[in-house]
Amino acid sequence: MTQVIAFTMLETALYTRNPVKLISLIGIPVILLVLMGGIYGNVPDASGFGMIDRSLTGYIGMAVAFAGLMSLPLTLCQYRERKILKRFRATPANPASILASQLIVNLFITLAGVLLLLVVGKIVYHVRFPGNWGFLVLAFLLCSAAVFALGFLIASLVRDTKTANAVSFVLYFPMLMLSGATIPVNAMPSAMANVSKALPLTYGIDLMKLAWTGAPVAKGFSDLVVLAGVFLGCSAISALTFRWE
Amino acid sequence: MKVIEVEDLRKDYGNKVAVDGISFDVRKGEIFGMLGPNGAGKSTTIECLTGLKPRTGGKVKLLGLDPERDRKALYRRIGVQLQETSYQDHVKVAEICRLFASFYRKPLASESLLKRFGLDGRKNAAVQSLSGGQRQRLSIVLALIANPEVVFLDELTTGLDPQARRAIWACVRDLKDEGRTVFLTTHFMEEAELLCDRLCIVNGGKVVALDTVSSILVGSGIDSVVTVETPASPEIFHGLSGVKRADAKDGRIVVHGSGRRFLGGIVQALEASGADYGELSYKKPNLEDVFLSMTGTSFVQ
Repeated sequence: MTQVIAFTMLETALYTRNPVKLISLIGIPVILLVLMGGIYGNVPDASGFGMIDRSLTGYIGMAVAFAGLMSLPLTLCQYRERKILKRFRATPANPASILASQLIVNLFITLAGVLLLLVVGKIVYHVRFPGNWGFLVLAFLLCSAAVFALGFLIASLVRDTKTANAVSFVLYFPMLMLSGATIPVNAMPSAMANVSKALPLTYGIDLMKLAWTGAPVAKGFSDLVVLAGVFLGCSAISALTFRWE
Repeated sequence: MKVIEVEDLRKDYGNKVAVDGISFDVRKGEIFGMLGPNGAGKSTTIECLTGLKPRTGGKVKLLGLDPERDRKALYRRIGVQLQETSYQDHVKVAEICRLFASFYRKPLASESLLKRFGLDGRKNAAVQSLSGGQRQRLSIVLALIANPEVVFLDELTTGLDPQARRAIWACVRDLKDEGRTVFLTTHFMEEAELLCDRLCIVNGGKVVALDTVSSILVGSGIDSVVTVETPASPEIFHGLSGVKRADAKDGRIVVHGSGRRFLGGIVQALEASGADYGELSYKKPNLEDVFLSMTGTSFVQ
């Protein structure tokens, strides 16, 4: 446990030395918010919610996807390719500690971005949140768990960094477009909607939407099951196939 | 006391055989070297010895333990310096030392280690900004933080300039003075000759020679050669201790032979003969000659 803490503290300090990466990770959701807010505003319609109210969870989902599918696998693959992981294997440190620390750091940074998003959303666009904080936090964590586990899977199965990057791209952009973050799923033609159902992020965003709008937890049960399943499945396969070199 | 025991080690990568039945022992407190050209199986051997790769066959005992089964216990007692290692971007020297120190119950103080290896002034510098020689010294520091009984060094001076190389050799000798056992791999003959108490020469995954450096050289049967410019007759050298033959050619005499008194005897004989003589050149057999005579191929450095 102390090893995980030691690694996490170091990895966090290292992140802060890469300001471009840090700012883009924390800033992406907010930039999106400001862009969309500038175009659509947040005037409530008949349902009582404005465009931003309805989309905020989508932006959170996008932040999670970026961290989990782009940042996380890329870093792990780079560490492997540069033989950093191999070096740590030759010590008493449990190499899983490095993996855990990467997970934690990416989660922290996503959280920072999300908090910034919520603060700006409240102050600038007066977002309405009739939901339950506990439910929202749970939904966020589950969504992150599933997407990050998918990121781990990419890093486990794909050998070199270039290919991992390509795979991440191929998964990330459809998730962005089709998971309900930008276009609501029920507005999609059936072919697109079917693809949407195959993406883990769709269920994460849906769950967060339910939390946001104050729906009862029970309504999100199927989302919960899918997310937990993705998390467990991806984690199990990663644990068996992750290559240290 | 045997610190490392290797019996018939084998390692395959699919169809490729990297290590093909290597056996040797390493005694406590010695500097043991594995010398061979690139592709001879040196790095693979180190990785099998330290449990980083599973072996295909054979037995390995390190400090009495099995490197594959008892890895965690072993890593507390050994230090490893790998080829081509790098560290996280932007990490500082002191930070990576601190991280490594956190892995061990009783680590050596990294401050004093950095000082000892001349890196004290660079402790707040980014590891990326270190020179090649400094980076290799850092990797020794990190291997030593464990206060290891056995230190594994894989091609420690590859890519370094001669000055940096000599600095590292001095560091390695210090390790022996501290009572640590050192296992190193190299493809530099000079390094093997200067550093190693005992040496194992490998080629194509097999052991070609295994003994102390001087025994390998003497036992190879390769002659030393003395060439001297002199009008004297080669007969003055006949019957001297260690001389095998002496031939005259173009105003020079070329003498082949071996032994402790070889060179001295030749000089004495020259003096005693009263003949005029000029430059003397003396070529002792080196490991390159040994490798060539044993494998029929030259050692490409």
